[in-house]
Amino acid sequence: MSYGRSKSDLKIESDQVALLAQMFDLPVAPDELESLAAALSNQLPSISVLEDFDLSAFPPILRMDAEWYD
Amino acid sequence: MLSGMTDTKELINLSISEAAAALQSGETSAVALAEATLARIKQTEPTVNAYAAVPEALALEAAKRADAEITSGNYRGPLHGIPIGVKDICYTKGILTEAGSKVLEGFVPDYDATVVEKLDAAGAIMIGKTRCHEFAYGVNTPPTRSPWELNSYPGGSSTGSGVALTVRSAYGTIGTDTGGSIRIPASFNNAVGLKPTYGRVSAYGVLPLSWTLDHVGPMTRTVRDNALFLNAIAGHDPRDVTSARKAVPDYTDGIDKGVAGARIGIDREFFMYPGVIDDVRAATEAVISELAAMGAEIIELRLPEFELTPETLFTVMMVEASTYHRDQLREKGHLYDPATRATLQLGELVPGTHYVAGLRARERYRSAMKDLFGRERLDALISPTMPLPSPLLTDLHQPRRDMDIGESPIISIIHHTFSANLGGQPALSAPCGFTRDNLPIGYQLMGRPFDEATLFRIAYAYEQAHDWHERQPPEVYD
Repeated sequence: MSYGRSKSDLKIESDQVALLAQMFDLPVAPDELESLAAALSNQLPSISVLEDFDLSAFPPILRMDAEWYD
Repeated sequence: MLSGMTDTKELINLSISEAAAALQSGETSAVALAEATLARIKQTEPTVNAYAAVPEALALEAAKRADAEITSGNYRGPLHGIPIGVKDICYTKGILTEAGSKVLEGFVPDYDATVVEKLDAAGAIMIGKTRCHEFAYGVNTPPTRSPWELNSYPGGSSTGSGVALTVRSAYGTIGTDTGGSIRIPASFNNAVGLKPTYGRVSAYGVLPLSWTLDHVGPMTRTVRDNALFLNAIAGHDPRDVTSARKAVPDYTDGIDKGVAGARIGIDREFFMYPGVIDDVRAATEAVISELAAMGAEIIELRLPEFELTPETLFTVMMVEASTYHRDQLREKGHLYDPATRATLQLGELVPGTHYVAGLRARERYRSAMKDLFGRERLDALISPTMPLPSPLLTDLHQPRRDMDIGESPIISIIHHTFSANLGGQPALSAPCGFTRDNLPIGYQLMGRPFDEATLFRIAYAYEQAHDWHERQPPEVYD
């Protein structure tokens, strides 16, 4: 499952996923490559939604703390 | 000797508050409640499959101990002697804990999760382990079915925890919520579900999905029961590094004080987006109007940062989940459900820069939410919990048939719930009506961190004016 709302035309091919899987020692069966490539093609551009927001003043949350401090 | 209350149907339909009063007055016993619940489980399970394990003998033993304590004057509180279901990702000492996965087939923990310990200390009877999506990820399909419509999705990932409340095979249940997994099944099952503030309830001994997004919380039939339940399970736990040190109030204090003067915000642009069906929109607007009539002030507002919540949460959750499962995916990858395995594989291919961008977006969202509550002097935000009622299982991952918005039902389902997980603020879902097809509708309240009490107060005021929470689906079990 991925959350792809972007309109990107990115198309990742199965052999590219196979190479990534090999690099990362990620177990992916040959019959899973095509669907994983499609999911990755959908997932990666989704980060572009965040580009609509200026994040320059916001460091990453490194430790989650729900409290609102003044 | 007991007087009166021995009828199974009467017993299983009691709320926690009512059952507790009956136990204290001697009208019923913990054994009678446990036996009635076990009988109901036997009656309903062949149809709904809400439980992964039911340790009947242990439950009856615990009920006998509870009766002995209560009759000897050692009453522990409102959960004493009450049958409770626990989501099957919570460790239970000596009891099967499989998290809906073949990866953990036959796994029996040698210790209890803190939340289970706390329930035990409160005298609750652990009646069974409720089914969930595999490792609470929400991508496979658990075998649990909705009594409201057997072919529809009962919600998840705390699937059995929601259904057990609907069919009256538990008085309360434990759920967990990483992106809505308490509130989604609560909404689809006409129940009350609270995702507490991050760190409010210990996650020690609960299998993680995404460390920075996971929450443990109570699911019940009424708002007051939910507050009583939270009283029992909240509090600091030194074994959980994310556990908050904040003092725990009595969440029932002031629950009946009404909503006069409360400031409740609504962002209609986000929460009434085109994916919200008319029946849900109307039911939620009716709640808003009614709260206004009770004296609440409704504040129209707009928070653009809501728009970044889906992509941010998915990115953070996928990477954290894949990190947790990394070794297991290599050792037992073939045992995962194919849908879960595919999502775990995908999470390993998300770049680190995307993860960090998600953490930065999360900080922006959190800051904006804090500013919004301060600027508008808000007590809560209100929205529908779900944009749509429980969809057919066969439609879950297909483009929505009712409208062309480029979403599948499973994506619409998380549209309103993700934000509270990102910010860690409390969020509660409670019943507010039914669709024309007789499927439950819930509304959501989001509050300030550690201010669950205000959400209970607002939801209790609304609940007192309605009987939505008492309605049940047709008896499809006999």
